[in-house]
Amino acid sequence: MVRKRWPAAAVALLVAAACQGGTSGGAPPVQIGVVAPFSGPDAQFGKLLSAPCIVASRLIDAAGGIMGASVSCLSIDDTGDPADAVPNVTRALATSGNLRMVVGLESQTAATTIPLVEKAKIPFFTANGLDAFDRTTDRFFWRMTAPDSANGVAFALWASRKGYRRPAIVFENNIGAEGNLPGLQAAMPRLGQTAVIDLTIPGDAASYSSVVDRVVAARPDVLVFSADPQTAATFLSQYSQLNGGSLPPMVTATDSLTPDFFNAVAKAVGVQYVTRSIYLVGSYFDNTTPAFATYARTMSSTPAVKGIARTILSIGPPASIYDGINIMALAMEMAKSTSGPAYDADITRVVSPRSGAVVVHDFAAGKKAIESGKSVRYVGVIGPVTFNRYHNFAGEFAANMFNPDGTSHQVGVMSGADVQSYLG
Amino acid sequence: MPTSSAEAAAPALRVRGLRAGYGDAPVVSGVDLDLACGQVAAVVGPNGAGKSTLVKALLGIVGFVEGEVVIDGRVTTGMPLERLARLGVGYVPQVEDVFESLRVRENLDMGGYLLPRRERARRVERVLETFPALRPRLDRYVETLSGGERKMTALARVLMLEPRLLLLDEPTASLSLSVSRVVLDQVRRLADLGKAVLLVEQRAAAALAVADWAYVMVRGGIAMSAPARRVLDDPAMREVFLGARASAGG
Amino acid sequence: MHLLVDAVGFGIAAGAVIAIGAVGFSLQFGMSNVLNITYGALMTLAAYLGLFLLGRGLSAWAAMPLCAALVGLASVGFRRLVVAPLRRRGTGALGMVIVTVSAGIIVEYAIVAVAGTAAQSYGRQSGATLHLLGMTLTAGQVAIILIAAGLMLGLHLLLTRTTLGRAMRATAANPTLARSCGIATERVGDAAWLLSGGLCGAAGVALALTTVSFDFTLGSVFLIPMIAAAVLGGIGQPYGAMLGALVVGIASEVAGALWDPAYKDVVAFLILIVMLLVRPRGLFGAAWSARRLLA
Repeated sequence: MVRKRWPAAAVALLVAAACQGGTSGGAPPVQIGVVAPFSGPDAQFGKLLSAPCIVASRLIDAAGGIMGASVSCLSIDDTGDPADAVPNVTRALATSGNLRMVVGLESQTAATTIPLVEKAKIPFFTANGLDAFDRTTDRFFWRMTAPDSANGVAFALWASRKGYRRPAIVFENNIGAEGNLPGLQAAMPRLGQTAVIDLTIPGDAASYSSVVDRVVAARPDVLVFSADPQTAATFLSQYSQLNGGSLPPMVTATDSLTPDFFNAVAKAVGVQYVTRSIYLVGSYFDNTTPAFATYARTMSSTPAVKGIARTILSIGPPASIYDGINIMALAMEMAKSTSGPAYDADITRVVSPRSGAVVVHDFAAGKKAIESGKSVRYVGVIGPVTFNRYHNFAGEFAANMFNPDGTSHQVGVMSGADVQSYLG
Repeated sequence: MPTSSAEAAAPALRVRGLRAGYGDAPVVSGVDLDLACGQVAAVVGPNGAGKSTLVKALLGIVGFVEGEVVIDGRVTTGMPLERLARLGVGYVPQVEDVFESLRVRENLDMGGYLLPRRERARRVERVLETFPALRPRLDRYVETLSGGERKMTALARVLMLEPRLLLLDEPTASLSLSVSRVVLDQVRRLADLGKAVLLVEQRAAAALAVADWAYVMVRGGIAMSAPARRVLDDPAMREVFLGARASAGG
Repeated sequence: MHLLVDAVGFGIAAGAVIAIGAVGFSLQFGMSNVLNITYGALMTLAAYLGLFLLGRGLSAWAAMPLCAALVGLASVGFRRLVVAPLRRRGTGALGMVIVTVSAGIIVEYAIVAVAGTAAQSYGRQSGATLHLLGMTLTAGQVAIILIAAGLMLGLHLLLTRTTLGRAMRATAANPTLARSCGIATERVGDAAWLLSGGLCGAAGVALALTTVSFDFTLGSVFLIPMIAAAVLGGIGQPYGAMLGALVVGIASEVAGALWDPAYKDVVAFLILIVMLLVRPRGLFGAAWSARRLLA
């Protein structure tokens, strides 16, 4: 995820307020832990990852809860710092009364937080992209977002499909961006591409002129790029100045599919470049499905999150968290238990195709089917899911472009198998 | 008390019951002083007697000051330092007596800060008549000057406003004997021109030689107040307060 | 080779912006001995004031002197309302730094409250690209270099030729002696903070023009190369800061051209720490300080 800054306290308050308010009495509410940065420079990311929890819990409660128990979201602040995350997550695991599922666990802190949740025997859907978890044997680990290396391959593959052979790679120096590099570098020779230059830049510098000068001199036909909005805008405007007013097209991550990025870059180099020359590549999901319709409708009508709904609805990780929560909730219904070791095995069953299974697109329909004794197959926002033996599912990739109003449209899809084949 | 002629004129400086120091502890206490125009009063005494603190107390630049300081008939206790300059009080500290990072000319200029610009130029000419050695040094930075030249710059600077009361804190400290003599001769000349000079000195004999009145300070108080000549000529005084320093001349 | 020559040009352009800020910072420190971290936030404030004025139809170049004046007044206000009362209460150097850090954060978040966190821009203001002495510079960069040079010359004349300027230097050199000369050091201090605040404001607008895109962290991020430049030249010495700014600007851009650009900004930190270790009085040390006001 691209680095952003946000008044942390404000976000934490907002999220905390949104997470209040369970429903019925009776059984204690089932808590869903959202491990994400809620303070510090990446606090906005926490907002993006907790929004799908708010939406899912609202829908689950509306359907009568999990076996009658309402659900609530619990923000667990990982601060974006792996060291600071450990005490916060440990404390939450030890003190929360009925914490039954966990989501979030993003790239920056996954290495230290995932072992804690695994040890607590609580199933979790992680939004991290670290390659280290491609072949994990963790029993309670589940992931439906592509590893970063696959993202990197998708960048190169899309550039190749558009006919670009001489990419310049320019990444800002943070964990999220650099994770894409190995896949990118592995795929490019296989796609007949040569990186004319490969540079890492610091964020928020006053001047990138000398760096830009090097890139211009290498004469790339496309920029494979990743940086925060302000850094991107400064870099591109200085590029345009030193290149006689023209800019090569850009392939970047769907992380940048945000109003901040759109506005910053459009102000600096003009809206035409942003809408005509920037491809945003990332995990794909179809936004014409019934599951998406429910997800989008609820997102847009939930006061706490509707302000950022447009941003969230176009990116993969929040959608995979929403689906992950529904899958775990249905697995609990199926296992008739909220205990991790009891329902973990049912997670695969909830999504896999079986004869006679009823295909459902939300929790309410799934719960109804299970209660009437049928087996179900959940097909959510990110589409049909099949986990490999490592509890990973990479899915497909799409390229998007900005519309002049800052929203986006899809311009192409790349299959997961295609991407995998260049990963080697 | 100073000489009878001084008694007739309004005293330039009158101090009564001065108590001053830092924190809670007074460094000087019970000090009475009188100084008339045209007179040099020397404040002498052993190291650590509180001589420098006394001068700073007169200017209000120590931790606390109690008692009464009257300059030219006006009570100045608690008055801001920058206003004293307007009352004709000139001060040359023992150290940091010049603006090091300024040229000699600029130091003189700042000495005449309160004057209109044209008048300043005239005064520069006048003080250069007193310190002709500074003329070739005018565009030099003070920090490149010798000790004697620095002290001359400091004295020239303080004379720019033609003060009526001069407070000089050990002007000869760290100067060679010959340069000290030149400086002290100038001090006498300034008094003869009608200024009142309070001269704090470690080199007691040399100071008393140019002074009219002597205040001998011991442990924060005035141990003896007498005509300078008498202190200088009194063998007991030479022995007790001035010791070997007197015979060495500094 | 061409990349290197270009990088020197970019370094001069970057150094010009740093110089405007660093000289003001150094002047202020020299006058008051306060390491004023709020300075960075005030630069940001200037950039946002410029944005507001651009929205009212002014050009960035016309907004610059206005922002300089406004931030200059803000700087005097800060001195009168915060720094001076604390000084009278005997707050130490460390306490003062903490206060200025806090005040900077308050200013930043006030900006966020009004203008939000999203990146802002004056838009494309740089004009044509020029080739001078083998260097590639935009018209905007050349204009900023000329403005910086003009401000430095103006400051030099003020400090050496006017009574006020000399009084500032005298106050910086020896405040007690200055007061004994009748200099109202409080008023001279106000003038110095007005001046350094004005430079801070001009630097903020120049920086916003250079980065094209900026947000509320603009000034605080830029504070490091600026302090590095000030320390390099011997903090408190405006002329040293001018040279220090050029060194930091050129070193950073040349590093970006020849070395891994990821470490481009580390150069400023490196210079800062090495200087403090080997020559805490600044690059030119005692020899320079002897002639520090000759330039």
